[in-house]
Amino acid sequence: MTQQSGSIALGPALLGREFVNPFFDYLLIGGGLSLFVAGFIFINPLGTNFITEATLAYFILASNSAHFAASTVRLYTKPGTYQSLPYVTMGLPVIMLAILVGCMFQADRLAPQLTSLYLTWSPFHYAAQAYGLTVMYCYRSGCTLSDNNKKLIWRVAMIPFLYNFIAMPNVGLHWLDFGGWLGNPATQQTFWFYFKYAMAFLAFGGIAYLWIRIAKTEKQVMPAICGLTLLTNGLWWFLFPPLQAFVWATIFHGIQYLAIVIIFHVRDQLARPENHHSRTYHICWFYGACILLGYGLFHCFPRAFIFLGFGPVESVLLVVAVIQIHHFIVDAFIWRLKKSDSNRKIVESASPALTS
Amino acid sequence: MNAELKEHWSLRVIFALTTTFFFLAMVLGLIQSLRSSHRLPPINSHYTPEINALIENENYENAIPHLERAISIDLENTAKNKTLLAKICSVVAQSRIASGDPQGALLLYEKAYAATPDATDILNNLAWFLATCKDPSLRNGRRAVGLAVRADKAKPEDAATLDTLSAAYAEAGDFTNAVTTQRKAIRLSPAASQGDLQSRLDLYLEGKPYHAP
Repeated sequence: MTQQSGSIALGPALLGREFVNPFFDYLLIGGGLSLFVAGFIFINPLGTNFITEATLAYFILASNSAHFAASTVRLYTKPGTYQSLPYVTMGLPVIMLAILVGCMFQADRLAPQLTSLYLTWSPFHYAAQAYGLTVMYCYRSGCTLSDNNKKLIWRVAMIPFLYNFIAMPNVGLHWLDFGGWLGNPATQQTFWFYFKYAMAFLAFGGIAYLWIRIAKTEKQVMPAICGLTLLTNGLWWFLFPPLQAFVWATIFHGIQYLAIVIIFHVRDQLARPENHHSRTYHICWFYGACILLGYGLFHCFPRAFIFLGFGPVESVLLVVAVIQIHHFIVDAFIWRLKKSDSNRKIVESASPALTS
Repeated sequence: MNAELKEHWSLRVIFALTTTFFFLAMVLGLIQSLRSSHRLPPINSHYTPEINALIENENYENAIPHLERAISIDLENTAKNKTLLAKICSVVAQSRIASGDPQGALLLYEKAYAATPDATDILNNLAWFLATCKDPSLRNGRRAVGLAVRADKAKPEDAATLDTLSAAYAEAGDFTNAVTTQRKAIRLSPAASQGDLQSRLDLYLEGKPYHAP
C-alpha cells in the first residue's frame, strides 16, 4: 500500500502545481521554449538568418522592452503598493531621472560605467529570477524548503552569474580590473579555458545534486519545472558566445517574466470586488500597456534628449541603462511573498484545473 | 489614510511633477522623430539611424565623435563601431590630404589604426602615408615598413600592398628590398596600373624614395 501511494504521488509531485497548465508553465515560465530555440540555433547557426535585424527589433519590443516596462506597470497596478512602498513608487523614479540627466551631462565619464553596471547586474537579475521562480514553485507544489536548501538553490542559481561576472569581457571583474591581469594572454590560456567547463559542470551538475539533496533531506520531490528554470538560466551563457548569449537570454527571460507577471496581475484584478472585466481583458490590457510603455521608454524617451541637443549615442544608451537598473530595483520589491501581500495569496491559490 | 497622504505629500508632488515631465519628454521624442524623419520612432530605432544619416549626407566630421562615444559606451557593438569608425576616418583622411592638410590626415589615420589595428587596408593606408607624405616631418620609414610588412602578411601576393611595402623600404633607405618588392608588384598588377608602378621602380633604382606630389 505504501509503495503504491508513493508511486502515485511521485508523478504529480514531479509535475508540480502549475499556474495555468503544464504546457504553458513549462514552455514559457520554465523556459522550455528556449531549449527548442537554443537547440535549433546550435545545430543550425545559419538558421538564425530567418531573424533579420528588422524582425529582431519586433522580438525585442514584444519581449525585452515590454518586460522592462512590465515591472513598472505591475508596480503601479498592484494593490497597495503606494501605501506599502511609497519610496519605490514615488521616490525611485525621481532619483533615476536625476541620475539619467546627470549622466547625460557627463556622458564621456559616466556612461561607460553605467553601461557596465547594468550589464554586470543583468545576469544576477536573471539568476535571482530563476531562484525566485524555483522557490515559488516548490512552495506552491507543497515541497517545503529548509533554510539550508534555499541557500543551496540560491548558490546553484547564481553560478551562471558568477561565471559571467568573472569571465565576460567588459563587465564584472573585467570592468573592475585596473591591473589588466585579466587580459594577460597567459591568464587567458591557462585559466579561462578550464574555467568555463568547470563552471558549466557546477551549474548543471548542481541542479541534479539539488534535486537529490531535497529528496533526501525534505523527503519531497522538487518539481521538474524548478530544475528546468535553473537549467535554462544557465544554458545560454555556457552554450553561446557572450553577445549572442546576452541577446537570447534577455529575450527568453523577458518571455518568462511577462508570463508570470501577467498571471499575477490578472489574478489580482479578478479578485477585486469592483472588477467587471474578463480574464482576457486584463491580459490584453496589461500586455498592451507594457508594449506601449516599452515603446515610449525605449524609442520615444531617448529622442527627447536628442531634441534637447544631446548626442544620439548617449541619449539611447543611457536611457536603456537607467530603465534596466530601475527595473532591477523595482523587481526586488514587487515580488515579495509576505503573508499580507497579494502575491502570497496567488502563489497559494489553486490551479485553474482544480477550480473548474 | 489621510495621515498617510499628508505624510508623503511632498513626495507625491515631486512624483507628479516627474511623471508629467516624463510624459512630456515622450511627446517631445515623438515630435523629434516626426520632424527629423517624418515618421514615428521606428521599432528598430537605436542610435545608428542618426549616425547613418550623417554618413549618408557625407557629414563625416560629425559622425566621428558619435562613433567614438559609441565605442566607449556601447560594449555590445564595439567591433562593429570600430570597423565603421576606421572606414570613415580613412575616407576623411583622404579628403584631408586632397585639401592639403596632411597633419589632419595623419591624426585620422592614427584613429583608424587605433580602432582596427589588424585591418589590412588601414595598415596599408597608414604605411603608404608614413612612407610617401609630402611633409617630411610626418614621414616615418621604419614604422611604415613595420606596418606594410603586416599588411603584406595578411594579404600576400597583392600588388597594392607590395607597392606600399616598396615605398616603405625606400623611405627607410633599403632600396635593395624596395626594388625587389616593386618588381614583384609590377608582375602581379594589371597592365593599366603598371605605368605608375614602373615609374616608382625607376626612382628606387636611382636610390630615391617616392613622395606624393
